[in-house]
Amino acid sequence: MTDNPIQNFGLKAAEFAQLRANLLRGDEALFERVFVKHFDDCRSYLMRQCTAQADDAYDITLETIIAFRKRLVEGKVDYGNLRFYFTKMAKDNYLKFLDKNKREPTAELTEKEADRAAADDSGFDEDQLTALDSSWSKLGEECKKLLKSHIYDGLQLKVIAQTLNEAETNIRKRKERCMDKLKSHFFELYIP
Amino acid sequence: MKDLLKKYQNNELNTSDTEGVEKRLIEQAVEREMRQKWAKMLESEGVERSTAPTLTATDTDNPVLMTAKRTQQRRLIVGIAASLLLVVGFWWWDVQSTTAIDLANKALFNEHFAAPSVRMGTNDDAKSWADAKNAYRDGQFEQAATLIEAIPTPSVEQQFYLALSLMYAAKPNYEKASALFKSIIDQRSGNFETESQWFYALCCIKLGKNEAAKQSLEAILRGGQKWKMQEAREFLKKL
Repeated sequence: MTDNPIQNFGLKAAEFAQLRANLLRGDEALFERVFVKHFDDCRSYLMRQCTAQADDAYDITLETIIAFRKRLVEGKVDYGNLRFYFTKMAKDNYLKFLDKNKREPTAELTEKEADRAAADDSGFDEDQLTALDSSWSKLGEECKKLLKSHIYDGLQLKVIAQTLNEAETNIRKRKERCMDKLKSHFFELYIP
Repeated sequence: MKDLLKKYQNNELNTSDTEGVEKRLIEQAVEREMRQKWAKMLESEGVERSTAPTLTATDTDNPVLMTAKRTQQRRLIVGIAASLLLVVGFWWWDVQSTTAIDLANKALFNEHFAAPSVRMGTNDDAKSWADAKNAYRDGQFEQAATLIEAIPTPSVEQQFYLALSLMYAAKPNYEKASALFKSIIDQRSGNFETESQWFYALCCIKLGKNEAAKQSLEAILRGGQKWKMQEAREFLKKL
């Protein structure tokens, strides 16, 4: 593959492959360094080309980085013109954001609708999110890394076990323990 | 969600629904943690949510806006002056006798593209960039170019200001500057594209590459942005 760092956030093809491999190993440092550095480019683009407000452009850029990272981990992004792909994603996200804001209900809300409005896009309300933040922060780094790799990044336990050079059954048990721990912390703070 | 969480707490969900709830919980936890962590990292680099970056619609440091405002003011002055027959006559004579290279010289030396805003940098790259912006603002274009060239993977904005610095330097390097502008245009990222088209055209005129300049000026007209559109038309008449 031809190296073209200018179109690929300063990365050569091999560095891009390394960036993805690092993410799969749970090492976020290179990804974070690259995207923090190019954050302002994308934000400026949204403000200039889409006349987005500074705060909105910031939020959309952050969400785009999260979505881009997910696609990268899933192997859905190829080296080529990452910068173009990324800015296009950001623009699409901004258009979705505008579309969603247009459709916000303005009429008087029913109680059920008010509950729904209080929740964010994920469906969780503020109390649930506060409890989740707190219970997540109580988990050790090892647990967080394992749950993130398996549940968020979708890596098979077998692959994680190979990377850690451990038996798959151990990893499975550890994952269950971590999940139980999170659940128990969460319901200590949140009573449905 | 409340009902679902209650069932999850009481282990009343089947395996698939349990996994679904756990996935949603983990997704939320992970993404919220990422947002928080990255926001802190950005803050340490001087990027804050409520602070506009280099380019905002109201920022006086906005190079595009400021240049556009100055262009508007110039147009107003020209409008008033044009009401006087004598001035109109002089202006007409001036237009007739001015060549594309004269126009390029005026565009290059009468006014420099505004410097980007300066923020505090915490790492070496950010420090180099902050120093480069100060040097550019002070008209120390050679120094600005050297500082930006030292940044290992420059952003589009940094590449753009490197090209400008090379172009405005006491000994301009139009070849290198035009290559940088061209590469920004080819990236199609939308960042500094129109500006790069404009300055690429100026460099090409200085290098005698009128055909390439024409193509770039036509791209500005096709782009539909008002910035430099009138000037591009004037240049095209001369080329």
